[in-house]
Amino acid sequence: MNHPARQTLLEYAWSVPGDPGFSETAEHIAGCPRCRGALAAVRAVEQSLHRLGVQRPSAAFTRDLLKKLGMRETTPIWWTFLKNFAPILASGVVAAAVIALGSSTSGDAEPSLRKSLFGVRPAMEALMAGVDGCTAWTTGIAAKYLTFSLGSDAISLAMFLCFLFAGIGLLDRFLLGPMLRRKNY
Amino acid sequence: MIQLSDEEIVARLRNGETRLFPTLIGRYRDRGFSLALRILRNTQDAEEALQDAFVRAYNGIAKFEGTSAFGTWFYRILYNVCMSALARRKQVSIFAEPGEGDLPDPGPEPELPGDYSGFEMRDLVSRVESVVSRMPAKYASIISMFYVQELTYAEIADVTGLPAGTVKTHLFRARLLLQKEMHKELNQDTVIV
Repeated sequence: MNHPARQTLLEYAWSVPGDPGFSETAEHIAGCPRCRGALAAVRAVEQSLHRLGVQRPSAAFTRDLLKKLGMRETTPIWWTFLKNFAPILASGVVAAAVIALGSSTSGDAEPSLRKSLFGVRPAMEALMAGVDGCTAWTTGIAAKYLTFSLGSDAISLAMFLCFLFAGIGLLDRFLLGPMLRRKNY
Repeated sequence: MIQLSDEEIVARLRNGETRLFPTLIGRYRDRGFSLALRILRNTQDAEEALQDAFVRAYNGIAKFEGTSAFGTWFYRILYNVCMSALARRKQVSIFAEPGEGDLPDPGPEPELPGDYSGFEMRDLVSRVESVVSRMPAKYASIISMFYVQELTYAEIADVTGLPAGTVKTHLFRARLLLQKEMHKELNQDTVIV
C-alpha cells in the first residue's frame, strides 16, 4: 500500500472536501489504520494550537501605560461601591436612627443625653442651627454609640458601621472625590 | 451593564470620551502582548512595544477610518512597532531573511507523524507552546495571529502587509515545521517510555 507523503497528509488535514486530491487521500485513509493514526496525530497538534494560552504583561503594565496617556487607573470595585451607595445608605440610616431611637426607650444612653439628642425635634433643631449644630448633633450620636452601646448590641454595632461607611461616602462625595476625580480617565 | 462594541467605543473616543480607552486596553492587552512576545521574544521589549502601540493608537484614533476592525488596525500598529524594534536590533524584516521561503531542512525522518494518543492534551499544548516559542519569528507570529488573535487570512494580510496567498503559504510552512518538531520531540519521548 502506498501511503501518502507526509506533506500530502498534512495538506489533507488542513483542506476541505473539494480541494485537489482530497477524495483520493480520504479514500486511502479510510482503509489504512497507520495513516488514520498519523492524521489523528496531526489533528491533536492542531487542537493544541487552538488551546495556546495568552501571556500577560507585568502587573505594572496598565498603570504605567495609563500614566503615559495621562489617565488614572481604574478605581477599585470596593471604592466604587462605597462611592455610589454610601451617601444613600447614610441618608436612610440617619433617618431610620432618628425616628427609631427617638421613640424608643430601650437605649443605654443616659436619659439626659437621649433627651437632648434623639428624636425629630433635636434633629430639626440641629438642622436649624446650621453646620455647627449638625456637627454637634452627629458627634453626639456617634459618641452615644461608642460609649454606651458598642459591643452590647449587634444592631448598634451594625448601625455604627453604617455611620462609618456613610462618613467615608460623604467625605468622598463632597471632599475627596472632586479632588481625586478631577483628572479621571 | 451593557458592553460596548469596539466600534461604539471608537466612535465615542472620537467624540472625546477618552475615559473609554482603558476598556480597549483591557480587551487587547493580553493578546497584543502574546503577539509582541512571539515576535520580539523578550518580555521587556514586548511590553515596551505594546505600550508604544497603545499610545500610537490613542493618539491616532482620529485617523482610524473604520475600514477594518479596530482589532486589526491595532494589531497592524503593534506589528509595525515590533518590526521597527526588530530592525533596531539590526535584524532586517523577518519576512525578508536570507533564504526566505525555505523551512529549515527537515532532514531524514519517518514519512508520517507518530501516534500521540498516549499524550494528554495538556502535555501536548505545553510542548506545542515550547516549539512555537523556538520557531523563527515569521512563523511564530503568523501562528499567533491565526490561533491566538484569531485573525483570518485576510486580516493577517492586512496586519502584515503581505498578500493573502503569501500568508497562507507562511501559515502552511509554520504548521509543517511545527508538526516536524513535534514529531521529533514526542518520538524521543516515546522511545524513552
